Amino acid sequence: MGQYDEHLGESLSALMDGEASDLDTRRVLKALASEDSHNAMQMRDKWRRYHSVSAVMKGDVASTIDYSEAIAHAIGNEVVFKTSPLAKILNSSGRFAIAASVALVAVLGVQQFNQSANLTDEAAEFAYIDETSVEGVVGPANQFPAGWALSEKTQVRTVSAESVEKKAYSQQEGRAYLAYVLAKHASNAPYIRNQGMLPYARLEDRKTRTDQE
Amino acid sequence: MTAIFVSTSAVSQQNRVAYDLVYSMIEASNTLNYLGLVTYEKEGRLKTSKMLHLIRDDMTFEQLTHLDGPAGQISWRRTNGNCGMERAWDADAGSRPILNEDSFGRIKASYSFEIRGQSRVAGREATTIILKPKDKFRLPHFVAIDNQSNLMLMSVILSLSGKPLERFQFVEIEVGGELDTMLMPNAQANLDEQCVNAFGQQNQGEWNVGLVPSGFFLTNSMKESLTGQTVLGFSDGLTTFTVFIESAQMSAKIPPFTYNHGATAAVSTKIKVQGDEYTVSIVGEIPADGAKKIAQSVKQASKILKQP
Repeated sequence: MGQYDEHLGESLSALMDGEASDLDTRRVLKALASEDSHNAMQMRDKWRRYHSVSAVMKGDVASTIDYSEAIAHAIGNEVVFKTSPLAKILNSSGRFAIAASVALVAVLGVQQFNQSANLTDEAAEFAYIDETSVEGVVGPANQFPAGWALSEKTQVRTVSAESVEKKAYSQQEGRAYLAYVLAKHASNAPYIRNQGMLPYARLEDRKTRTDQE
Repeated sequence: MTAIFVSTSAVSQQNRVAYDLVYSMIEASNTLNYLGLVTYEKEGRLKTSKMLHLIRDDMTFEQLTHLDGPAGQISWRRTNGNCGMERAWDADAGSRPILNEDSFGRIKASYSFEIRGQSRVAGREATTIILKPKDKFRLPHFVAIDNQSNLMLMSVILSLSGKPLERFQFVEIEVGGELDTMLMPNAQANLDEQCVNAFGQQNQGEWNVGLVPSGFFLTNSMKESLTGQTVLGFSDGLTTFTVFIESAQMSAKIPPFTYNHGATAAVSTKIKVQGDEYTVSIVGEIPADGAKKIAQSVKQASKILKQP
């Protein structure tokens, strides 16, 4: 008995006892894969013997019939349902179509979003002027700031200036307000000059600000 | 026992040195002329600017010029030296202005200071200090102070978990020299007169911020007559936050939101007063959770007075 056979026997025994390592399992499966080889036949015999012994020791009925050959034969006689090449193409293209449509929706969605944003620029500008109070509003109104999160209960939709009365919040007004309070805070912060000019660095505004307040 | 005493004494000595350094840093930023290149970084974005800071008598001129991205410049001229920290003339110190002990005490009361070692920033030797807040209404600061001029060369604001949120750093700086005799630029600038008001004498007007974290004091308050907006500025000498209370009319257009970008948090919430809905927004370099609590504590002062 060669060293390989010896290792194979040990691996089979370990598998039988439920103590097989990954290496043992792979070794046994590899030997079984070569169906007609000497090793495979030996392995099958050993496996059957081990189980018979084990069953007898436990007091179970030990069957000496080898079902494996019969099962293999039955499987071999099964009618094969061949897949048509067309079905294969349709199947894969279906998946592709779904992916493509998702992408298309995404692209259209972005375009529509941009379009609606452009369409509401005028309204936003009107609202902007209406809020002049908000002198010194800085930062582009269409800049969606990173880190922005609306309250979950907030109903936000793009509205025209006329429908502001409905109390639906405009994203652009919200963004403009956020830019405004951030800039005003950054402008106020230098009063506390213990950090030197650091608060100025936080200003997002890139416009020249030299007007008298 | 002796070892413990020596160790405690050493820590105490180190704290004292750290306090003195931060004290000197604040003073330097209010008294020295400097010109430098700075980088400001947050959430992967880096801005480079040139900063000019000049002081002549009771006038301070500050200018920031953006060196990348869209061109821009901010110029500021201040006419009052008493902004932010209360400063007093100390007879023993001659004409050298010093910080009021009470106001510096606020920083000491709000943060613990710890020297972290020596570093090199903008080609200059610097001492690094970490300022750890004593509550959850502030963020930790990691600063590098120039060993020569005591100016702050680097400031990193960290999250409560220690993650860097923003970094401000000089890459090159020139202190004093020709800047001390340079003529004040004639550029048109924002004129800051609001801080002429004496601190401590201001009140919050018709609104009252119920939860002002210990150590913070009101630095400025104003009401816009046109919009009815009330703005209240608070500081502990290092960290600032601003409270905005919008009129009921303006509030109808402002959604409640939470915003976090770098070290800056902005929280906007709604409060109801006698059937009207007002928007209260808090903006500052403070944790968003703290900002929310402060926003929710705002009440109309007149209403409070009515309560028995």
